[in-house]
Formats: sequence, structure tokens, C-alpha cells
Amino acid sequence: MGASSLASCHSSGSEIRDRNKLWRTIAVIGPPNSGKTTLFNRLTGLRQKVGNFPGVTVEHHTGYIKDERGNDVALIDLPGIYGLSPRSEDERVTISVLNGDMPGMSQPDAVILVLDSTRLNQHLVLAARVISTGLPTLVVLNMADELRKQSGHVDVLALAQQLGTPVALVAASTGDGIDAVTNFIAADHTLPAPTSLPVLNDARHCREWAVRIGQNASYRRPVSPIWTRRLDALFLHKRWGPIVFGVVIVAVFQIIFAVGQPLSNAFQAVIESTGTHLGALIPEGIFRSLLMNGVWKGTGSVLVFLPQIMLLFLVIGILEDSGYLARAAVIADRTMSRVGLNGKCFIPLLSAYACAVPAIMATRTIENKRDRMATIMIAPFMTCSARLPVYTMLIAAFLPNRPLLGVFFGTRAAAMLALYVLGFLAAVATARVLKSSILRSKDAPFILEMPPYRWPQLSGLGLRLLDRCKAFLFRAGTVILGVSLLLWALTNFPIHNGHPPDIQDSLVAKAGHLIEPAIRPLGFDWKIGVGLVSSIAAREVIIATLGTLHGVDPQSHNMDLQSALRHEITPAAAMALLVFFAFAMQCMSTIAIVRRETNSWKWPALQFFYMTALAWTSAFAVFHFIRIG
Amino acid sequence: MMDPSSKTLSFDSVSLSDLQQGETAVLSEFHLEAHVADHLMNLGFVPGIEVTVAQSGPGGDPRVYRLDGTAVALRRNLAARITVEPLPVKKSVAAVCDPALVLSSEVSAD
Repeated sequence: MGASSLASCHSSGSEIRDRNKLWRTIAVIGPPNSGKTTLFNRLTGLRQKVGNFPGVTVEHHTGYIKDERGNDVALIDLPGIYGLSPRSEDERVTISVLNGDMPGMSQPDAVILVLDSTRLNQHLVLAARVISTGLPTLVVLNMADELRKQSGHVDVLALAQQLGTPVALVAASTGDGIDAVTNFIAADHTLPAPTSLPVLNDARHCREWAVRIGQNASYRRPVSPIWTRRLDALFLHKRWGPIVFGVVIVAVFQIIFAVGQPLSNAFQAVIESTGTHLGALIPEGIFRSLLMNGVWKGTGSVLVFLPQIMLLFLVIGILEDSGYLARAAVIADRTMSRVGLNGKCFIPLLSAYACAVPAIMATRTIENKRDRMATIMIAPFMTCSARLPVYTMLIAAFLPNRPLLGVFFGTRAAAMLALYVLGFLAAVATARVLKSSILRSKDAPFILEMPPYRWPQLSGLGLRLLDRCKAFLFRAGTVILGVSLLLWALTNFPIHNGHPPDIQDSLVAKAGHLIEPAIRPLGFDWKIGVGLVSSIAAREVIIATLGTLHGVDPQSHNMDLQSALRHEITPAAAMALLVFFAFAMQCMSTIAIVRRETNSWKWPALQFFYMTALAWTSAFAVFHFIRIG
Repeated sequence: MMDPSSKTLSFDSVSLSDLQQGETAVLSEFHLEAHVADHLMNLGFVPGIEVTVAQSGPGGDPRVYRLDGTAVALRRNLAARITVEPLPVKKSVAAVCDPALVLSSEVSAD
């Protein structure tokens, strides 16, 4: 699922490959939901990097640690697999690494196979397949705490004897039994010597073998906890299930706004006051203008949204780790099938509300190629967190807040909701068109495992948030800083007699006037035009751009951005701008990730032109409709 | 396992999708493409194993099936291609072993 792929964009694959040649490598593999990543995080902590294998888009984390004897070891966390016949791109990667077929990477020296001890009859089948590769293997029976709590049992020694590999009973979430794993990492590895292996291509035989091996090790499957079934009885209830689903979705967005907004405001106050204090230390002049108007204001206006974005990732991460998202996919499946997609597409689409980039990476778990393409194509319509600053600012500037339904739901909240609905409808309509034309396919089988409900692990969530945080700061530090600096330069040149020009005579105004004819019909002026062009780097950049442009304009430099905008464009044009942002694909990162995931320029190009055309036409319609009406 | 075209479902066979919530049956045959059957088997859907029908999405589709500690959701069109041998529902025994089962059958009753 998306969890492990919520990783940063700034991978350094070559560095990882170089180190992998010298370091002893141990692959951590296992079925999905076996707690593989929890164990990996416990072993490596913050010493992990995100990377890509050459030629494939699947990401993996590598942790560099020293074993107990002081040797360097690289642990690789590979995507979850159910068997050794690949169905999705994720599985293909794991299997080719295991077989030593991955270009630029030698076969791992050993394997840590993580199984869920509460589901051994199912998971031991994978053990048979992995052991038969002949690689030194440690079989980790994870979730030992759950096994004991629910009165299950397994004889580790008896199991080890039959499998011919060391076996460790571990609770990765608490760290209980982890010593056995660290010992294995440090030890000289021996080849597995199983007493028996099943005929691997006979599934029934494999299963019988697994059950027999389990019985010989006095395996007693734990009673599944009552609350897992009780929760299912509620979350998948005929009437209550969809209601809970609705409440959860509303709650997610309510948290983002009710908790996230004050956090962002507080953060903004900190950034602004720090800026003022720092500014006072620098002597007046062009250098101060560069630092304060260019660097600080530009990047600061975007950094402000960090708390809200982190919060959204946190909430979606909790839903995913708790096991609820799989149930939500079951609830959503029927509705999704009406537009030709299935419930599995719901999971990436929900995370697209945070950011389209991890969402598009999460589509790898969709086995049907055409369904996956359709999901990639519609994901950028979901109202991502980068649109939020644009929406918030324009709505606050142009819409007075009047209560509609009590104090909690006013005109501004309604406008925001309408924009979310608008993006969603565009996605649905697009999916329908695509699935009944170029991406038509027969129904793909819908098979989705329901993971047991579990408490989300704080450490795992924290590490993923850190990944996202780094990616966001990286973007703020590179793309957004770059655009801010370029813009500052364009507004401050050509220099007349040692002074920057009037904004009307600056280079940026010339560029803006050049594109004005294309956007004049939408009610936008050249400043908005510059904003739109710069926002192709990232949507939220338009705010930094407008901030800089108005900051240097003598007519508006004393106003805050909202009042400046009210002077600049009509309310009708502001509404048109909102609609433009709801539909347009103003995001380089998304274009890049679609290129990478679809392995062609055809799809991102089609997507960009389709979305821009839709945005322009809709903005045109809105502008003229409001003006006349 | 089996080629879907090679064998058609006979009239008297019961498929997984015919079962009601709370019923238990033994899996017998998959009339599915090989790679789909393969994946189901990796998830624990092996002929001879007992499956219990659990809750579903709105309108009864997709439905969750429980087997040997695992729960998997399948769409109706897929479940219809898996034949089963139904077992009688042993309510009294189930109530002793697993109170949750009673709860789920209460829920389905309303």
C-alpha cells in the first residue's frame, strides 16, 4: 500500500548502489501487513535512505548499520510479496532482487523473512518459496505480543529444525526478541537445510505442508480478537458502514482545517517576526532587498503550509496503519465501479488529497495496468495540499464570512467544500471518459486482503512524516527558492542609475505583458499571469510570486497581499482564478512523477494539456457568467 | 488453477457468492484464470479449506470472506466462479468458541 511509498522525491540511487557493492547486504522481505517495515525501522532507525533501482520506479529504503562485530551492513526494505510470481511492479522488484536479477545490484548475502506469527498457516507458504532460493535466511515470526495475548503458541526450536533456518519470535513494535535478529545480522550465515519442502507449483500441497510444519511445531493459531470482528461489524455494516465512512472523510478534512489552520497561522507569525528581526540587522540596500523580499518572503510564504501538510499525511498514515483504509476501499468499491475503477483506486486517490506525488506512486499496488493509468490521470484533480494556500488566500480576500449552518459552517467553508467537490467531479468525469475510451478494460478481479486492526506505531508514522517533511523542505529550498530569486531579479532589473526600476518597467512586467493576451479573457492581469507561469513549478508558488510583485510595487507595497489583490482584480476574476487552480496541472513534481511512472512523455503531456484546457475553459465560463449574472 | 473456458459451472454446484453472511463452506474448485487463482491461493484460498462469509460493502458487494485467520474481500463476480460445499451452520458451537460470530449474526439480522 501507499505507506512505504510515502517517501521523499530526492533519492540518491547511485550512492546507494555504490555502497551496496562494498557492504554486506541483507534483504528484509515479507508479505504485506506482516510488520516488515516496523522491524526495519527498529533495526535502522534514522540511518536509512530512500532510493530507486535503475530502470524501475519502485522505491526502497536502505539502512546502513554496524553489526555487533563492527562490520558495515546494508539492510534493504523491499516491497511486500505474497508469493514468488510477480503480479505488480512492486512484487517484480522484490523477486528480481532476491534472484539476483536486478541490474546494478548483486544478490543479497542473506534474507530476513518477516512473517506474521498470528497467520502462520498462510505465511509459511512464502517461507517454503524463499528457503528454496537457497539464500541464508532468518525466519522472523513477528507480532509475538499478539500471538501470546490471544493465547496462540508456537515452538520456535521445532520450527527452526524443520525449516533448516534460524527462527526468531519477535514483537517488532515493542522490540521484544529483537536480539535474535541482530545476532543473525552479525553471524556467519549458513545455508538453509530444510527437512522437507513442498512441491512449489502445487498451491494445495504448499498449504498442506505449511499446516503440517506448523502442527509439528505445536502451532496454535490465536483466537482472532473479538474487537477485530466487532469493528468489522460496524465499519462494514449495511447502514452504519457508509455513515462511518462519510464521518471519517469529513473528520479528516475538519482536522486539517480546525487544527491545521491555527498551527499554520502560528508558524506564519514566527516566520514573519523572525524576518523582521533579521531584516533590522542588515543595512538598507539591494542586498537586504534580495534577502528579505526575495529569499525570506518567497520561501516563507510557502513554508507556512508545512504544519497543515504534515497533519494531512499524519491523519492518512493513521488511517492506513490502523487497517481502516482497506475497509474504506470495500465501502467505496461499488461507487468506484460506476466510473469504471475499483475500490483499490480509492486508497491512492485519498492520499492525493495530501499530495499527488505519493498518490501516484501508491498506484503501483493496482494490478490492472489500465486502471492504474486511469487513477494516475485523475489523481491531480484531487484537491492537494498545495492548492490549499491558494484557495485559503483568495477566499479570505474576496468572500465575506457569513454563517450558513451555525458557527462552524460559514460561506468560506462552503466555498472551500465546493472547490473540493469540483475537483472530485472533474476526476470522476475524466475517469468515466478514459475508462470508456482509451483505457477501456474488462473487469479486473477485485481481491483485497483485510489486515487486522492495529494501533498505528508512532515511530513508523514519525519516520514517514520525516520523509515527507524533508521532501517538502527540499522543494522549498530548491524549486521555490529558485523561483523566488529569479522573480526578485526580474523585478529589480534593469537597474536605472543604481536604483531598481519602477515595477511597470521591469523585466517581469515585460514578460507578464507578453502572456497577458492569453489570460485577459479570464479577467487576469499581467501580475496574475506571472503568478500562473511561476506556479507551474508548484501551485503554492503563485502566492510567493504575487507577494513579491506587490511588495515591490509602490502602489501596493504598504498593503497586505489580500487587500492588494482586491485592488488588482474583480471578484469575478478571483472566482475564475479559483476554478483555474481546481483544474490546472500546475505542478512540476507531478509531471515528473507521471513521466517516471508511465515511462513515457505521452501521458504527462496529454494530462497537462487536457487539464490546462479544462481549467482555461471553465475559468472563462465562470468569469463571464459571474460578470453577467 | 483451471482454465475458465474448459469447464462450466454445473447447475447443482454452489458457488461462494450463493452463501449468506454467517454461513461456512469448504472451498472446492476455482473456475478462474491461472494467475488469479494463484494469487487467491497465496492468500490462503486453497481447495479443502473452510471459509466463513462475513460482512460486505454497501449492496452486498464486495464481500469479506474469513479463512484460517485471514480476511479477504472479493467482488461478487469473482466469488461466483469459486465452487464450495456448504457446511451446516453450527450456531451453538460457534457461540461457545467465538462470541464475535454471534455479534455479527445479530447485526446481519437487522
